[in-house]
Amino acid sequence: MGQDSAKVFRKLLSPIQLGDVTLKNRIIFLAHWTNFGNNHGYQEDGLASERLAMHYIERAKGGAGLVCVTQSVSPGGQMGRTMVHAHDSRNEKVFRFMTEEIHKYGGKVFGQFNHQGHTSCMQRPPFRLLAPTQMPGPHCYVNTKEIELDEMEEIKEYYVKAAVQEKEWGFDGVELKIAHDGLLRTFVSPYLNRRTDQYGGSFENRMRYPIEIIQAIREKVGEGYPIGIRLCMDEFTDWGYSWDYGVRMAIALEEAGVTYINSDSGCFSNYNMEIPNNYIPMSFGVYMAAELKKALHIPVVAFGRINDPVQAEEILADGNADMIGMCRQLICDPETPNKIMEMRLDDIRHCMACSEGCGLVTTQEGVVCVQNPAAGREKRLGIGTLEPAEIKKKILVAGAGIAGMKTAEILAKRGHDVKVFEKNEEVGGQMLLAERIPYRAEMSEVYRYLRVQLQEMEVPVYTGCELTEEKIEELNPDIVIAATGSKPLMPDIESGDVTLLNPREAMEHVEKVGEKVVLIDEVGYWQAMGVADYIGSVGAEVTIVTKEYYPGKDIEETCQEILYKRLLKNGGKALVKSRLKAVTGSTVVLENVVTHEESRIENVDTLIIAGQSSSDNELYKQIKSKGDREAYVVGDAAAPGTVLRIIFEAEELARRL
Amino acid sequence: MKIVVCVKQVPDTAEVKIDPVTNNLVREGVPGIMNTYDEAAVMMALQLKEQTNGTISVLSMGPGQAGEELKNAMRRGADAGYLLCDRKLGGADTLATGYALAETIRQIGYDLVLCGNEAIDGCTGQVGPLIGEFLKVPALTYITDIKVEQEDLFCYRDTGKCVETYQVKGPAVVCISDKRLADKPYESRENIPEIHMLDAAHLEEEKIGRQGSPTRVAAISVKGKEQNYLKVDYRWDCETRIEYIMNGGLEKKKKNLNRETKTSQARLIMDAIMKK
Ligand SMILES: Cc1cc2nc3c(=O)[nH]c(=O)nc-3n(C[C@H](O)[C@H](O)[C@H](O)COP(=O)(O)OP(=O)(O)OC[C@H]3O[C@@H](n4cnc5c(N)ncnc54)[C@H](O)[C@@H]3O)c2cc1C
Ligand SMILES: Cc1cc2nc3c(=O)[nH]c(=O)nc-3n(C[C@H](O)[C@H](O)[C@H](O)COP(=O)(O)O)c2cc1C
Ligand code: SF4
Repeated sequence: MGQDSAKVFRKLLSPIQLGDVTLKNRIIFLAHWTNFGNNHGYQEDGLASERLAMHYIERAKGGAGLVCVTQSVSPGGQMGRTMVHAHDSRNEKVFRFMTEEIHKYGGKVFGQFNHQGHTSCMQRPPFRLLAPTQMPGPHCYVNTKEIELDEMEEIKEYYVKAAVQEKEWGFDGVELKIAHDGLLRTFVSPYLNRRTDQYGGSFENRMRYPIEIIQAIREKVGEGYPIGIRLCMDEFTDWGYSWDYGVRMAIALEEAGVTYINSDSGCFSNYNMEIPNNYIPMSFGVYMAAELKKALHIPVVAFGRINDPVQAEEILADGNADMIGMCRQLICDPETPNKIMEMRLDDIRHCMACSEGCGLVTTQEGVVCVQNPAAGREKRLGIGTLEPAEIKKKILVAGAGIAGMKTAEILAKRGHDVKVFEKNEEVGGQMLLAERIPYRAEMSEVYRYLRVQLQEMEVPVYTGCELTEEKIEELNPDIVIAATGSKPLMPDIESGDVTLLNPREAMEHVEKVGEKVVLIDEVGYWQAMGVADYIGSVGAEVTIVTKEYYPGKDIEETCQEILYKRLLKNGGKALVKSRLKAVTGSTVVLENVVTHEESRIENVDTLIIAGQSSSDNELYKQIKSKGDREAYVVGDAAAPGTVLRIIFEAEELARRL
Repeated sequence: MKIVVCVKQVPDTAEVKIDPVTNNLVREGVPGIMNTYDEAAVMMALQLKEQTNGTISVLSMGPGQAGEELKNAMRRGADAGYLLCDRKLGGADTLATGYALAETIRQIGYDLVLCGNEAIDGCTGQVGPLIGEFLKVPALTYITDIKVEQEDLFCYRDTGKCVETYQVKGPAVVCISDKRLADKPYESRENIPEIHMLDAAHLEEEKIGRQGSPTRVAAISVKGKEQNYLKVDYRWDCETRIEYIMNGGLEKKKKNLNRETKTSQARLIMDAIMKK
């Protein structure tokens, strides 16, 4: 394009001063819990690992101005067993390595400190949960201990110790979390803090404990050392505060001498607004940053569903924030800042806010990403690890679903001669249906990104062109990759007067779906709840039936919650612990899996059975059995699954060949 | 270069009057003017004519009085005027209008079609892109300037935040959004050709007029000043705040598509086909 990125992204790529520290640009890798710490039992846990360090270094390599590293303080302060402890001096070696590496790339690094307070994501936490006032966090059932003054003092000392030693180890600043669920937010929250001593009752009293911690740290680290706050601006609950209170707290924190405010919202009682999924619009949180900008003099960070440089520049140019927080965008594409600087805007792989890979942290799993196989595996798959192929081979790929396209991308990047065949007129495979589900249009990013990569490398993609045995003979490749997808499986049942559809037919031909619909959820995934949402949104009355306790069991939890609400709001119902027994005339007969009690739904127009898919691997078997050339199978064609696995599998396969 | 410019006559008033029964605009008794963006498109065409030694045809669809705007354009330097005027075309929405204009443009012949980016009375901004769709050529919107270099057009698209440059080969539809062009001075000609009057004979009847128009305006409301971010009132209760954010600041939308029931038309037709 030849345009100068510094002119186009004038604000975004300009430096900013935070205390004594200069950031080279306005892009911040927001703090997030990774589960990359080591855990060998209580007190032998919270240990920093190479995996953790590599994860953050990768984002500095990718060009982020600042990287924030989530950590806990005090032995009982962990939200999960693998959250890294900031106060533990055993982490010195790894953290020194990490900060040094980050500095090599011109990035800065802050530690984000949190004490979990009343929240634990562990099933049975080995330590007691603490809160200003005894009550369980409203999102869980584990009751808390009312924290005593000497315990508060002890935790404060952990905060100070952590800040001081991390400064020593090369960290450039500290960010305290008064956000999500954590001890400090429970202190500032009027609902959760009912204390009658000097730490509760009035606004000043509620702010006292966090401000004491800030001042104690300030005393030890000196004037110019940045102390930022990640601040929950709106708890987004019936009982919680709204952003006016957030602004009020920010003013008090500014007076207490903090260096910047990093806006945030939501809490574990409304996780949707904390890690906003695809149902929440992009840039949704900008209004909170904008309100802070009106009230404060110190720099403000905007957050939430910001994944594009133009969007980011606009927020800064409008004066609504000073810095741009990106968490998942940089998990998905760590090289976003470098690509912006090089004006390679089409190459940016946008996070689609599915939370399906990164969201696994709440199950105590490490962060991964649906689209980026290198997330959490930076050492092996990260920037600069792709090796050119030793022997360049001629490779044909059957199918331009995501499996075929991802394999082709990596093969071509390694220098192989690749050709892709797609029997449909369009590339994308099943994603072309997945993206039609209400609010899921961003799923198309998976194949958009891959299509652009193939285009740029001039890999031929023949659409409307089935790859057959004859064509393979004719073209005589060294290797054939079968990424031929799957077909929905339908049980052999008598469907009476009811139209029987599989989920893909229902998505493709919504006109075939009647007014009254029964949908059997046998996959627990988007093919059931997603399809129900689609047809419910265009007016059908849907009853969704599942053997489980709730439908959509395998869907990411924030999406699951919204899907369920949307089902009910569209007049739908869920029938749980039930299965299909028979169809007679236009009546669908169901039975409870425990009691075997029957229930009937009458006057049904359409029955959709969202069952398993079966691999479409004929071509693969043919080539393999002939044995005259190499053949591999990938994606749904190998085992029907989800994008998370398929993209990873494709990357692994393509790196081997 | 053969340029066709589409112009529309619009009521000369800022006040929008809508028939409460049909939800269509009431035009009776209001004097007409040329839509400002179309005027800008005409001025753009004149610039291009000069540079490329081209010709300009202006096309309008509407009642007889719309011919005034064609004359206006020809006085400025357009070479020919075509008025598509037929009772059958009445009640057309943007889809039917796009179709009728596109088919007529195809008959007139063109290398470049210029339109106003939108009409100041309807503000849909859909007609230009639809003409592009029907002609199966690229359509560019929000264009503020066009440069011709050999075979290529360079079109400058102002998004309000940055200017994108598009390089286009071959025929295209370009929608002009820089209203200031309309104020450019021009020399008025006296002798102008007769307007070519066209009826709907070359158009398929089910695609034009009321019959070809599926759009219904459900409601119109007046909105406050635009903002680049959602403004959420802190006094609203939590559910309202979240609802508002999720709907991107809009009232709840609901849509119903025609789907099949045992007695629906679609089902009856399908059954009939299956029996054959
Ligand atoms: C409604 C719906 C919603 C979904 N939602 C999600 C979701 O939210 N998240 C998620 O992770 N997963 C989702 N999935 C699953 C996901 O879409 C699939 O697992 C994934 O797309 C499979 O990719 P694939 O490339 O292996 O196969 P496919 O997408 O099936 O692609 C195979 C392609 O190969 C082509 N082909 C087949 N044979 C040949 C041949 N011989 N020559 C040339 N071309 C050939 C086919 O036309 C097809 O385009 C959803 C699926 C559906 C149906
Ligand atoms: C897996 C995960 C863990 C997170 N953990 C933290 C955390 O420890 N501290 C924090 O301040 N924010 C945390 N967040 C919230 C993010 O910082 C960010 O506010 C949120 O993801 C929205 O921004 P995004 O759209 O750029 O991802 C986490 C987000 C994710 C996805
Ligand atoms: S898993 Fe989904 S939400 Fe998480 S970073 Fe990747 S694309 Fe974004």
